[in-house]
Amino acid sequence: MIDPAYLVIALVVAAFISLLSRVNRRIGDIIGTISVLFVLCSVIANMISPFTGRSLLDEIGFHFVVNGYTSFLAFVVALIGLMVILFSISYIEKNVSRYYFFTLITIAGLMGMSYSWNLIWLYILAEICTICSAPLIAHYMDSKSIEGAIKYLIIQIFATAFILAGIGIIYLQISHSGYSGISSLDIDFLASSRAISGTLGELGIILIFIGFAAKFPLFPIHIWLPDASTVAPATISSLLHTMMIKIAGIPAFFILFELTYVFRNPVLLWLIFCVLGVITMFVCVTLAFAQKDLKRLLAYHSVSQVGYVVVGLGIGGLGMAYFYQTGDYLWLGVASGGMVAGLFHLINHTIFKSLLFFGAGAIEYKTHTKDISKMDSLLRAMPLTGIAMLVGSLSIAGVPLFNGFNSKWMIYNSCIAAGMPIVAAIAVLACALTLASFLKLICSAFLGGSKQEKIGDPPIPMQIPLIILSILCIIFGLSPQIAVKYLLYPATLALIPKAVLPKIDPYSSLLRMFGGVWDVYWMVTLIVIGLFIGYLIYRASPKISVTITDEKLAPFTGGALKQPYLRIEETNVHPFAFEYPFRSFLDILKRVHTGVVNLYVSWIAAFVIFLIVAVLAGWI
Amino acid sequence: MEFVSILGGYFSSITLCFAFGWLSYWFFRKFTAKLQSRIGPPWYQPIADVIKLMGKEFFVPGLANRLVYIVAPFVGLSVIMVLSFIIPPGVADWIGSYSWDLLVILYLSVLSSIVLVIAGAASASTWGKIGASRETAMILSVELPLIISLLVPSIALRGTTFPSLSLNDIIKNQITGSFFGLPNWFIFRYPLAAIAMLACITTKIGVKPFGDIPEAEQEIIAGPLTEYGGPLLGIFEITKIMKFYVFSALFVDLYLGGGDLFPFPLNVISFLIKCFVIIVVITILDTISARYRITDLPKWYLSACLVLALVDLIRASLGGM
Repeated sequence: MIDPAYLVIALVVAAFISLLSRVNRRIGDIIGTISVLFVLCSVIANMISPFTGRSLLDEIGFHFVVNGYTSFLAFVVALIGLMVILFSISYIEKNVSRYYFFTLITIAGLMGMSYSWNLIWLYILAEICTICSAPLIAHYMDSKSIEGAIKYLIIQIFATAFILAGIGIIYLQISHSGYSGISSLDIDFLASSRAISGTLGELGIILIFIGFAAKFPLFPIHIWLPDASTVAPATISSLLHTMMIKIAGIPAFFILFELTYVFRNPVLLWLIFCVLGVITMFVCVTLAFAQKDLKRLLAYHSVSQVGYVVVGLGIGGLGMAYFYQTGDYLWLGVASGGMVAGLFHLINHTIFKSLLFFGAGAIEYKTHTKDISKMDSLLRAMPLTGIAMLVGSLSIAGVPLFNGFNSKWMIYNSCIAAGMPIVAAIAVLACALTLASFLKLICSAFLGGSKQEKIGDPPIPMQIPLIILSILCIIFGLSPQIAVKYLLYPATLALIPKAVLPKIDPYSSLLRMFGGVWDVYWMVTLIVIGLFIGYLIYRASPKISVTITDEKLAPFTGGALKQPYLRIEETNVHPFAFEYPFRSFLDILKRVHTGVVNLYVSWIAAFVIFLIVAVLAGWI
Repeated sequence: MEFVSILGGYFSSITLCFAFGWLSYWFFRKFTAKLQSRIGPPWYQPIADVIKLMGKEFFVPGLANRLVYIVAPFVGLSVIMVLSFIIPPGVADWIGSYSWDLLVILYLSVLSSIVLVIAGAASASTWGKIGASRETAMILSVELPLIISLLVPSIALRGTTFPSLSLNDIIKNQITGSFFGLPNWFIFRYPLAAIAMLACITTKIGVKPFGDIPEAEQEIIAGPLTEYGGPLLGIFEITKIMKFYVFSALFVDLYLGGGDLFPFPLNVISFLIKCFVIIVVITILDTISARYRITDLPKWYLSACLVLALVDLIRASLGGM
């Protein structure tokens, strides 16, 4: 049990010490690794025996709460933070002191955000993270990256301004009720005192939601992410995609969840939340389908995967809303199932998306290209990176025995249990599209067929995160019970109100009602036995000497093609036939994704106006 | 003890799957030949093909990715074996069936297609790549109608609380009761979704009208499997034989009431007869239809098939209107 305040302070101190890496860059490497490793160990210690006392930073109103949910978020931050710092050791070559300073400050901010349950501090920490990640996006300091950083700042600050407006409205209301001071903005206080009410209270919470939803890139506000992450270094893309959009964005869900009592029609509210998730999922995967830039492809995919997280969490909220309406404990099972699924997909996406971004970084480091159509036979040229990317691709595509499958499976189950089979069907289609676009990547960039010299893997500090994250993908894929038992179940317990807890054990109801987690062990056994039978059949054949044909012997093409091994464009490894019926849809999407900030800001404004109208008209 | 019985069930279902697949594949070829006024192969032809392939030389193309090229067929085979175990042979409370197994079945059947895509891409052949691309288009087109028509029976089972995603419950629901004098099978209750599902399984098995597009021999030699030969092609051939059983069994369990209420050996026999009927239908479909272009595949599956499945999904959500 360690006071979370020390974790934040340690990271901030480490950030200032790392400024010395101007003298010798090893100072930054060492102090960064040590501080984040310390934070990871402390977070795990806090998970085993939670810190219960009054935190040091509570004096200025941080209101640190240590429970399953906050520890889960902090664990994600610390794990990926460690990977980012390790990868940076040989990946980042210029401006090291600035890089480490801002990275560590961002991680500190996220660490604070994951533990803090105070509205105003959540806002301040979100702003700190936003502003500190802008110089990281502009790390290379060329015109494109500076443009990306400025775009990012404009959209983010425009959106987070709504949080402040919302807090203002809420504070006005609670000060009328006679509460004052910074501690009256603690989320658990707001939830228990029931001081917010009426249309004004709804408006305040919706405005806060919009601000955080811009971090959690829900559909109309997702536009900043691909532009920002394409120009940033791979580590920063990973930081943005895995932590900024999850940890800084998850208050959007959490605040709505804790303060649902304010709304007159919570079921509709959560349905809107789920629908936004579904739209995000489908639109962004369609956009990803058309990309050729590796990082941009990954960026659109992570927006799309956030859609899954949002659907899972939305079903959590929906189940609770139905539970309060009907009093049926079965809905509590659905709620806990949805939340477990959403949070599981959150951590899974964090793992495999950082793996993919690190892989992209390693490829860029060795080959200096981000264009998929210029990559070829990477599995042969860079074996370790290739295998890691393969594991990541199969995970994100939701192939069984990898972690993405488990959480997606739970999300489909909870969709169906909540009575929304159409959502499940769209989610499966989005998953098929994800699979198709990653098959495109695997086929053209990794398997390929041209003769290429062995480039070799990146240096060892870059290999370690790739190995660790691949292993995590496989562990959570083969044994989801570990994640559910030690990470997700405590997190869900912390979210479900204490009043209903003694009456029901959510874990057993989860298992009974809902299929629970996929019991993988015997499936793996069966597949291994199947592989063995196949091997026996193969051994039964009389000649098993492997002949490798001469590399000069290309397949006979009848002289139709000059070069037998074609590139991605010419062979249409992407399913062109599928693009055809969707071309008009894609054209519309392309027309609105112009890259002009003014248009994006007006999108956000339109979204805000829609939600405000929805509140004022009394729909939610 | 449980492990032993699971293992026994596993091996017996693999045996059943292979035997039935062998005979139905032979029947498929023989019946096609009869319909086209040819003589057709003898009954042992499928296994003779496999044995011949097993005796051939084993080679790997020089530019292929060796590991993926060799491992892919084994993964495909084991996936189909697991599928043959999970899908019950018409028996309620089958040892391999497992609560919420429909999505696992869906995913494993997709995995069997992914194996072809990856094998085609790893073989470093132009034809392999084009075949892989077509296989991907096929996965995308078939997936949505397939999931919806899989979900229709499970949504229809929804009583007062939650739907069930278990094939076991679906079979149990069909073998009791009756529907306007007919058996209580889902094909009578939701015929449109059954048609969509039938269309999807023809494609999954890989027969015409649409299923052979990835392997169109007139255009792209043998699609993903162009470079394969010898024992590895033999493994793919066994997988293909077993697919005939797996997908027709899935259809029978979902829409034709599994093995009815008969006692033990009879229900499996009744189940196999139903599977055989499906094979006959598929064979006739294969013979009477011409080859379609690849662009027709998404057009048909994402319009006609999808609409059929969706209509029945909406009916099922409204409680069988």
